[in-house]
Amino acid sequence: MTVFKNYLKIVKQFIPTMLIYIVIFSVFAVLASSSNQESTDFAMTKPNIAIINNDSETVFINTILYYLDENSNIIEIENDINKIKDALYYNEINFFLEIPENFTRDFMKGNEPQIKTKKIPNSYSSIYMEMLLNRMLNISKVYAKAGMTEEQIQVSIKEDLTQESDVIMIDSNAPSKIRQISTFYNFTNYTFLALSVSIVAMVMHAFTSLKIKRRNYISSTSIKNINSQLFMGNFIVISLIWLIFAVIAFAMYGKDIFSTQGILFLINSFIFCITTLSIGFLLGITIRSKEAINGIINIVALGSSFLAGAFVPQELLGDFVLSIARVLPSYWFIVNNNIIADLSVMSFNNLQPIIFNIFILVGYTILFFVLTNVITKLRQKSI
Amino acid sequence: MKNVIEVKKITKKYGEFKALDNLQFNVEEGEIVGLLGPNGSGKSTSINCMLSLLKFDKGSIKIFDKEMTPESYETKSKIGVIFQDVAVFEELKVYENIDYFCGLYIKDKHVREEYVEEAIKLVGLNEFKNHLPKQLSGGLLRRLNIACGIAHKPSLIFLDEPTVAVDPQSRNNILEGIKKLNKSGATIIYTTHYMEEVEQLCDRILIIDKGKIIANGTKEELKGIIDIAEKVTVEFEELEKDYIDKIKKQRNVLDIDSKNNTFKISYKKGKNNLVNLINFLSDEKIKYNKIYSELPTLNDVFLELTGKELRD
Ligand SMILES: Nc1ncnc2c1ncn2[C@@H]1O[C@H](COP(=O)(O)OP(=O)(O)O)[C@@H](O)[C@H]1O
Ligand SMILES: [Mg+2]
Repeated sequence: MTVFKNYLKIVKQFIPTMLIYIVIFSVFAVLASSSNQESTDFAMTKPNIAIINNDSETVFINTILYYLDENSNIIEIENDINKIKDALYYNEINFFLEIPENFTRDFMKGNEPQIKTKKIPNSYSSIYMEMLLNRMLNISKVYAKAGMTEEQIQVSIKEDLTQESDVIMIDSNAPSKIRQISTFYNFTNYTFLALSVSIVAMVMHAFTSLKIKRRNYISSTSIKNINSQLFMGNFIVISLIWLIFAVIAFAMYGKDIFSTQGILFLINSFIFCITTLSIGFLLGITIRSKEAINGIINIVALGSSFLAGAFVPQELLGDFVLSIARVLPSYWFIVNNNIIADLSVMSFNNLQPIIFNIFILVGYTILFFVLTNVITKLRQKSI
Repeated sequence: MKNVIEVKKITKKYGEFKALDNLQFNVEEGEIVGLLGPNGSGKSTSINCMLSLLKFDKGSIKIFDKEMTPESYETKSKIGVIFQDVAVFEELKVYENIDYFCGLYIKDKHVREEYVEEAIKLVGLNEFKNHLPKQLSGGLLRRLNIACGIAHKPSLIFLDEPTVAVDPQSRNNILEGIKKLNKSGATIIYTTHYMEEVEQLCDRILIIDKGKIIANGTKEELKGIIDIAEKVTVEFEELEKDYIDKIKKQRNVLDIDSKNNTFKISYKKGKNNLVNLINFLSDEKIKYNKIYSELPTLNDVFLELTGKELRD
């Protein structure tokens, strides 16, 4: 356990830095998440929405429009993505949806055509609209599967509508709390990267510098043993950092952190922490200069936080930026936080994209470990 | 005495360049063996091969009668190495560093505590236990480097140029420490390009050049293989042109190396070389400021064997 103990000794030196990071971060995260709290008069006004329909005016489309009209004010808008974004940004509309071509045909066939939506981040009325839309589509799907025609569905939906209006309002407080947690965890993208990556990278750098490695190598402790102790050290440090932020989240948002969504946040962030471990591994082992490592970590932590929407909601970032951000693990971590926050009904179907994104993070982790290995092997040959 | 190390016909190539060329030698139990050679002669490479840190192309290496491989943990547990470059954790204090490296060999905490203290005493770092490496001078850092390599009480110790760029005080401390380790039973291999050190320290000397052992023996034996037996230095008051020819004709004179007013005269074996020269100079009424005689050095041996100086 010498290696492991030594690992902790070195990590101990990072505690002051860690504390500073944690304090500064927590202040920022709290400020950011509390400023996003939605006003409480959501129920008084109907949200404004805009619709672009690329399908023909089928009975089913009319049903959707009727249903949405009952719950919101439909605003006319030009079919121009920038105008729509502006309208969202200036709160002229709360929700935008675009129905794709042949939507009705595909939908009635039992396929799952997607309606493209855009909403104001962290806005209750936007989330509310999305929930309503999903609900209506889910019910219609059940009807369609049961063999109903478009006309029959229209009648049934209209009947349902008269009965349900206040059902959805029950958890009116929850979305904003969950939203805050997701904002909090989006912020952790920066801290996890800055903190975990630098600790793992610095310790790995110390242990794998050529001279130290030689000493380890000639000792009677096997390299396998040394490496597994190092891995254990890394894993424990990473888990500890994750736990600290889980505790902060609990301190700030209370028991909501133990709701299903809260637990999904915890899982998602833990997986991301493992990814940061692998990034730290890659940097610490393959880059020889400490200064270079620190420089790269700064760029990665800040850059990915801005590109992937850790500080600014992804909805406000341009499509171009987001398409670049897709190559970053942070993007998938943050996307997942946002999906979890919007989750209204727990079902396998709804969980699927979350699981998919977690797989992407796991994929990145494996990729970074493999890359580290390949680079070390190549180096060994050239020595 | 039994052999602790048997190196048989090792060849190590870096690309087309042969860093070691049929290198062969043995080290016996209890010896201090010096591997003496200029920079780039293959000292570090041969140590790295013996430790299985480097793969070699041909030959075999046995340590403690066993083929040395990267997995020879039993053998490794009895070996201590002090590398040419200081290899310690910048983040750890002196004591913690030694404790870490010792811990790779010695698992028992109490035994280790004792060993670490002993190592600290041996290299004289008592006052610096709680210093970080960056607070130590170059010489002290070298001593720490040594303590890290030997704290686990190895019975075979490799030291690769441990005194390069070290102040005289630390150098003496290091050489004394090595002698103590040897007295307590350790076999030692010491590489250096300083001939004074091997003369002072080693029971036996291997001279290495271009990856080959070119001579092997005690310092007396090595000096015995060359023709020069004595070197006399004279500094004249005033130099005349014919001095060089006159002195060359003297008995036993091999060669004269002249610089300004000074002659370095090499003699082969023979009696009264210095006395004869002094008598000759007074007969000829040649005035001089200084005259003294020296025995040949290992540098002379190296010069005669390779045609170049040990230190360039
Ligand atoms: N990794 C390497 N690649 C190519 N040549 C090397 C390498 N390491 C050492 N050499 C060459 O091998 C020779 C012996 O080096 P080394 O064993 O370090 O010498 P010494 O320790 O005696 O100064 C030198 O000429 C050196 O340039
Ligand atoms: Mg060397």
